[in-house]
Amino acid sequence: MRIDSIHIYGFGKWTDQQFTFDHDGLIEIAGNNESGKTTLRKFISYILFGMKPKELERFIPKQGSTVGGRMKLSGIVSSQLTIERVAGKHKNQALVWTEDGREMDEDWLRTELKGIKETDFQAIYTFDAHDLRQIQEMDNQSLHEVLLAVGMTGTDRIYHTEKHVEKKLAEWFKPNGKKPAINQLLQELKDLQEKLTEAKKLESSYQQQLVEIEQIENQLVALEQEKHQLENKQQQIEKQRTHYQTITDYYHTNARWNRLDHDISFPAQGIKRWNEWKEALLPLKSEERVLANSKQEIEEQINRLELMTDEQLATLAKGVELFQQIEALKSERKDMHKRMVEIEEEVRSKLATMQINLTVEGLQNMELPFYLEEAWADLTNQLEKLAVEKQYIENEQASIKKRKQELREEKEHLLTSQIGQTELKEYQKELEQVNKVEQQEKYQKWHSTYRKQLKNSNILLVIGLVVAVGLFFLTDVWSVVVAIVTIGQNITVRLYGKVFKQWLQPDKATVSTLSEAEIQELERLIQYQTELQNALAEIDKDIQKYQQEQVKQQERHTFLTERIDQLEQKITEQEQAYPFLSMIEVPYWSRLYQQIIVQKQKLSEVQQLKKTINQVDVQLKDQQIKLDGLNLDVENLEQAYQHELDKRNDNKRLQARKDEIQAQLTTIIEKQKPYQEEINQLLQQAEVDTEDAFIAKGEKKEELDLLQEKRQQLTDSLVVLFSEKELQPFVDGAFADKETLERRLQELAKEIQYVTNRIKQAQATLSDRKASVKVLENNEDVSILKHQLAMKQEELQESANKWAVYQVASANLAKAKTTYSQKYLPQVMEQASDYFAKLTLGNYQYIYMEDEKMMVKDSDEFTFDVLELSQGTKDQLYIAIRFALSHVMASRLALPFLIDDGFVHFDSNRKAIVLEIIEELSKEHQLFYFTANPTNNAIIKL
Amino acid sequence: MITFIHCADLHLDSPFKGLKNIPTDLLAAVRKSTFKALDNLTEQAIKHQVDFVLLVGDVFDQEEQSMQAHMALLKAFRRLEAHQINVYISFGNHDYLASQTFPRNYPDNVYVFNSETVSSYPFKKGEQVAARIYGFSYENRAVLDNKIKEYQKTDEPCFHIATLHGSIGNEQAKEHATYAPFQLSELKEAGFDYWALGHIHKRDVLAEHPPIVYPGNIQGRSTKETGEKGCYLVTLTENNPSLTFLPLSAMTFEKVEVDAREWTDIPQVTEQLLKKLNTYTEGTTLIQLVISQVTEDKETWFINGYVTEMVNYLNEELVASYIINYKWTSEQKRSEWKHGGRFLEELATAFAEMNVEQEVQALWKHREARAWLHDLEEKEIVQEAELLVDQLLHQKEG
Repeated sequence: MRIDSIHIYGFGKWTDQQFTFDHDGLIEIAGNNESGKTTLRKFISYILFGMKPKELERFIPKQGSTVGGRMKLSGIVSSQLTIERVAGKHKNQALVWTEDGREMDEDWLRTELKGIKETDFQAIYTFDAHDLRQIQEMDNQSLHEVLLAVGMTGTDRIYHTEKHVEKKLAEWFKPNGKKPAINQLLQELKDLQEKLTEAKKLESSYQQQLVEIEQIENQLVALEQEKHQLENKQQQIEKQRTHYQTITDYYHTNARWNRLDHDISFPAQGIKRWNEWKEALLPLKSEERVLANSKQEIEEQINRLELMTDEQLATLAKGVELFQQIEALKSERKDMHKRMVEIEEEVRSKLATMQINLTVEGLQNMELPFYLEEAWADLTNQLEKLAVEKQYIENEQASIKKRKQELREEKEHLLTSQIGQTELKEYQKELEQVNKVEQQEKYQKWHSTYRKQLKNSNILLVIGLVVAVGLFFLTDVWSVVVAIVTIGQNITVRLYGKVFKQWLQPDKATVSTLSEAEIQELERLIQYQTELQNALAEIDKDIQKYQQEQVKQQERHTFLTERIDQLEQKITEQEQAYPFLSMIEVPYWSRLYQQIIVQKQKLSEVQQLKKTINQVDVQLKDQQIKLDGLNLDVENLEQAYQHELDKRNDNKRLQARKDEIQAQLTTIIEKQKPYQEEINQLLQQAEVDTEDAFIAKGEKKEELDLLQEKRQQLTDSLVVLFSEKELQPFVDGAFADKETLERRLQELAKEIQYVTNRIKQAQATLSDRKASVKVLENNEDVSILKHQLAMKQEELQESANKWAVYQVASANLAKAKTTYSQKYLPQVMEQASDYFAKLTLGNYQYIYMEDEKMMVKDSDEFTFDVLELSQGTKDQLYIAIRFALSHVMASRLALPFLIDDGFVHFDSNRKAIVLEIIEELSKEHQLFYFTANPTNNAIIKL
Repeated sequence: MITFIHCADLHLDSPFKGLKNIPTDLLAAVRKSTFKALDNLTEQAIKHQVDFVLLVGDVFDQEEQSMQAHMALLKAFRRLEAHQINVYISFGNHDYLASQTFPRNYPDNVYVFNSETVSSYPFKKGEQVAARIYGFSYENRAVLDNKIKEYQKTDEPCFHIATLHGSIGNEQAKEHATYAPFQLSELKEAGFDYWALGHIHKRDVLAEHPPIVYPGNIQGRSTKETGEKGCYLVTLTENNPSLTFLPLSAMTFEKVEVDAREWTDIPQVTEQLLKKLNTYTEGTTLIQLVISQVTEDKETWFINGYVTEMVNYLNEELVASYIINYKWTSEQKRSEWKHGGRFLEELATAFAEMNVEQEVQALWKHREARAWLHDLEEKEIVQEAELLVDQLLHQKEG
C-alpha cells in the first residue's frame, strides 16, 4: 500500500495543505523541530484509524478551521482509493471512495487493513526516538514481549490473559490445596460419602432385624400355647373348687333318687290342675246366684205398676187436643177485637184534628174516586198561571204608553231648529262661486313661466341664424342643419304656448269674494240641516210602531179575564160536591185528599176485622160441643195423661233389664260345664273316686318329681362346667377333696406366672425390634444423602469442566507463545544479525538466544551478554532488532513505514548505514522518513 | 379380555441432573418425584381396575437401593394387593438381583422373575388361565446375550405377554455393548401377543401388531428427558390390542429455545420470557433455557450477570415452572483469528493440535477427584476455552 497524496483541511499547525508523493522508495520529509513532522505522522494515522476525541483536541488548528482531511491510497484494491475523515462529520468515521465512485465505510476499510488497529500500526510500522530509549531496559523478556506485542494485536493482552487464567486456575483447584473451590468440593464429597456409608450400614441391619422379628414371633406363639394349656388346667380345678358344694349335692341327690319307687299313676300337675279348676268354678257359681236374685226383684217391680187400657189412653189424648184448640181460638178472638177498637179511635181523633167538619160516619159514606187528587191540583195550577199572565200584560201596556209620550216630545224639540227650504238653496249658490277664482290664479302662474321660455327661444333663433349664415360660406350642409334646428325649436315653443293658453285661461266672469272662514261656516250649516231632516223622519216611524203594539196588548187582556171567570165556576162546583172544601183554600186541596184517603183505608180494615171475629165465634162453639161429648174431668186432663205415659215407659225399661239378666244367667251356667268335665277326668286318671284320695296320691307323686327336678338341675349346672366324662366320677363319689384342690391351684398359678413373664419379655423385644425396623423404614437419610451426593458430584463435574476450560486455555496460550517464538525468533534474529553487523560496521556478526538470554557474537567469535555492550552498541542492537521485527512482521501487510529520525547521536558512518537499511526497507514498503537533518534526497522541506 | 399397565424404568430415588441451585423446597419435591410418580402409577392401576401391572426392569436406580425406595415399592405393592391387582416384576441393569441389599419381602400379589433364565407365570381369572407372562431379571450388571430364543410360549389358549429389559442391537457387535440385544423381526416372529419392553427411557411403540412397546421412564430426571412421562394402559382382546398412554410424572423437564437476535433491553426480554414460560400451567415444569444467537453487544449481559439476575426474577414470578439453568451461544462464534496476527495463528494451531485429556489429567487423575469425575466433554471445553481466550485477548471482559 502506498499513500499517493495527502490533503489536510485542518490538523494541528496544518491548514489546507496538500502533499503529493509520486516518488518511489524513501520519501524524506525534512524540517526543523516544531515544523510539523510529527503532526503529519499523526495525520496519516488519524486518517487510517481515527483518533480518540481527547487526543484529537490537541490537533484543532488555532485558526479554527475544520479538523480532518483526505488521503489517496493505492495498492489496497486494484484502483486508487480516497479516504476522507472529518471531525464531527459522518460520526467521525472515514468515508472511502473508489475511482469509479463507489462509496465504502469504515468497517470496510478496517477489513481491508486486515483488522490492524492503531496500536498495531504504531508497534510495527512506526518508530521514533522514544523507542530507542527503551533499549536501556531490554533483556530477553522484553525482547519476547516486544516480539509478541508486534506479533499479536494489542500489546499486553497476552500477558494479562495469562495472568487472569492462572489466577482463575489457582482459585479453582490446587492438587494439594484445601481452599480452592474444587478442593473444597472434593472434601465435601468425601464427607458426604462417609455419611452415606454410615447410613447404609444402618439400613443393612434391616434384613437381620426382620429375621429376628420372625423368630421372636414364633417363640411367642409357642409360649402362648403353653400358657393356654396351663390356664385350662387351672380353670378346671378352679371350677371343681368353686362348685364343690354342688358336686356334693349332686352325689347325694342321685343316691336318694335311686332308693325311691319311680312308678305312680297320677296326672301330670294333678293337684295344681285340680285346684285351678276348683278356683275357676267358684266365682262362676257366686255370680249365678247374684243374677237369679236380681231377676226375681225386677219381676216384682213390674207387677207393682197398674196400667190403663190403650182405649182409655186414646180418649184421654183426644180430650187434651180439643181443650188446647179452644184455648187458642179464645186468645185469637181477644187480640182481634182489641185491634179493631184501636183503629176506630185513631181515625176519629185524626179527623177531629183536621177540623174540617167531617165525622167517621160521613167519611164512611163518602165517595173519593182516584182522579180527584189530580183534578184538584190542576185547578190550583191554572189559577196561578192566569193571574201571572194578567199581571204581565198590564205592565206591558203601561210601558208602551210611556214610550209614545217620550217620542212626541223629542219631535217637538227638533222642529224648532229647522230652517226654511229657500234659505238653504241660497247658501248652496254662494259656495259654487268660490271655486272659479282659484282656477284663474293657476293660469297666471303658468303664463309668466312660458314667456321666459319664449324669450330664450327667440335668442337661440337669432344666434342660430347668424351661425347658419356664417357656416354657409364654409360648408353648405352644416348651415342648413343649424338653420333647421334653430327654426324648428322656436316653432315648437310657440305652438306649445298657444295650445296651453286655450286650455288654462278661465272665464273672466263674476267672482265673489268670500273669505275662507265664511265658506267653512256655509258648508257646516248645509250639512247640519240635512242631518236634522233625516232624524225627524226616523221618529215618525217609531211612533207608528208603538201605536200598533198598544192595540195588540188590549186584545190579550180581554181574553184572559174571560178564562179566569170560567175557572172560578169550576171551583164552586167542587165545593158543592165536597162541602168540607169550602173551609179550605184551593191550593191545599190536593194535600187534604191524601190525608182523608188514608183514614178511609183504615176504616175499611176495621170492617174486615169485624167479619173475622164472627167466624172465630162459630168455631169456638163447635169445639166446645165436641169436648163436652167426651165426658172427661176437664180440670186435670193434661196431668192425668202425662202420668199414664210415664208409667208405660217404666214398664218397658224393666222388661228389657229382665231379659238381659236372663241371658247372663244362661251363659254362666254354660261356662261351668267344661270345668266340671275336667275335674271328672282328673279323678279318672288318678284312678280314685274322692277328692281326699286324689290329693293324698298327688302329694306322693310331687315328692318324686321334686327329687327328679333337683337331680336335673344339678346335672344342668354341672354339665355347663364339666364334660359328661368328668361328671360320672361325681355320681360315684370319686372326686378330690377341697384341700387337695387348693394345693394344686397354687402350684398352677406359679407356673402360669412364669410363662406370662416370658411372653412379656418376648413382646417387649418384638416391639423394640419392630419400632427399630419402622424407624429404618421411615429413614430417608440414605435417599437424601444419595441425592446430595449426586448433586455435589454434578457440581464438581461442572466446576471441573470450568477448570478444564481455563486449563486448556492456559496450556494453549503457553504452547502458542512457545511455537510463536520458535518460529519467528530465528527469522528475526537472522535479519537482526544482518542489520546489527551493518550498523556495527562488521564488529558484531550474530545475535542469538541462549537459555532465554540474548547474546551477541563479535567478528572474533567472542560472545557477549547484551548487558556487557556499550550504550551506543545497545542502541544499534535495538535498532537492528526493531527493524528486523518490522521487516518480518510487515511482510504480511505492506503498510507505509513512518520513521522519525532518532539517530542524532549516530556518527555519520553509522547514520549512513541506518539510511541504507531504511532505503532497503523502502524497496518493499513505502517509507516516510522524517528528519531535521535533510539529506540531498529530501523531497519535501517544511 | 385382559387389562394391564405396562411400565418400566421407574428409577426410584434417582438423583437428578442440573438442579444445583434450585430452592430447597423445590429440591425436596424433585427428590420425591419418582415416588410420587409411583403413587400415581398405583392410583391409575386402581382407578382403571387393571388385572395386573408389569414392571419391566430398572425399578430401582442404583445398585444399592435406599430404604425409601424399597419401602415406597413395598407400600405400592400392598395397596395393589388390597385391590386384588397382581404385579409381575423383573429387574434390569440398574437393579440387577445381585445388587439388591433389601429382602424382596413383597406381598403375595407380586410375582418376581428372579432368574436370568426366561420363566413364566400364569395369570388366572377365576379358574381360567387368562394370560401367561414371561420374563427374566438381570442377575448381574449386564446381560449381553440375545435372550429371544429362550422365550418359548406354551400352547395354552390365553394371551402370551413377554417382558424384556433390553434394546435393539446385535450381540456380535463388540464396539458398543448392548443389553439383552434383539432384532425387531425376532420379536415379531416369536408369536407373543404383547412385548413389554424396558430400558429405553424414551417412549416408543416399535410395532403395533403385535404391540412392541417401550413405555419410557415414568419420571424425567434431567433436561435430556423432556416432556410427559408415564405408562401404557393396555387392553388385549381377541381382535384388537388397545394402548392408552397415562402420564404419571410429578414434574416435567423442558428445553426452551430462545432466539436472542431480537433482544433490545432487559425488561423487554424479561416480559417476553415471562409470557413464553407462563404457557406452562400444569404441575411443575423444570426448564432449561437454550439461548442462541446472542449478539456481541448482549454478551456482556451474560458476563456481567444480568441474565442470571433476570432468571432469578423470573423464577420468583413464575407459578408452575422454574428455570433450572440456561445455556447460551453467541451469534458469531468468535473473532476471526487469522486476521488477528501471527500469535493468534499459533494459538489456533495449538488448539487444533491439543490433547484435552492430557491437559486436564491433573484434576481428572487426581487421587480424590477421579472417583467422582466421569464425563469429559472435550468438544465443549475446547469451544469454551477458545471463547474465553478470545474474550480475554480482545478485552471483552465487560
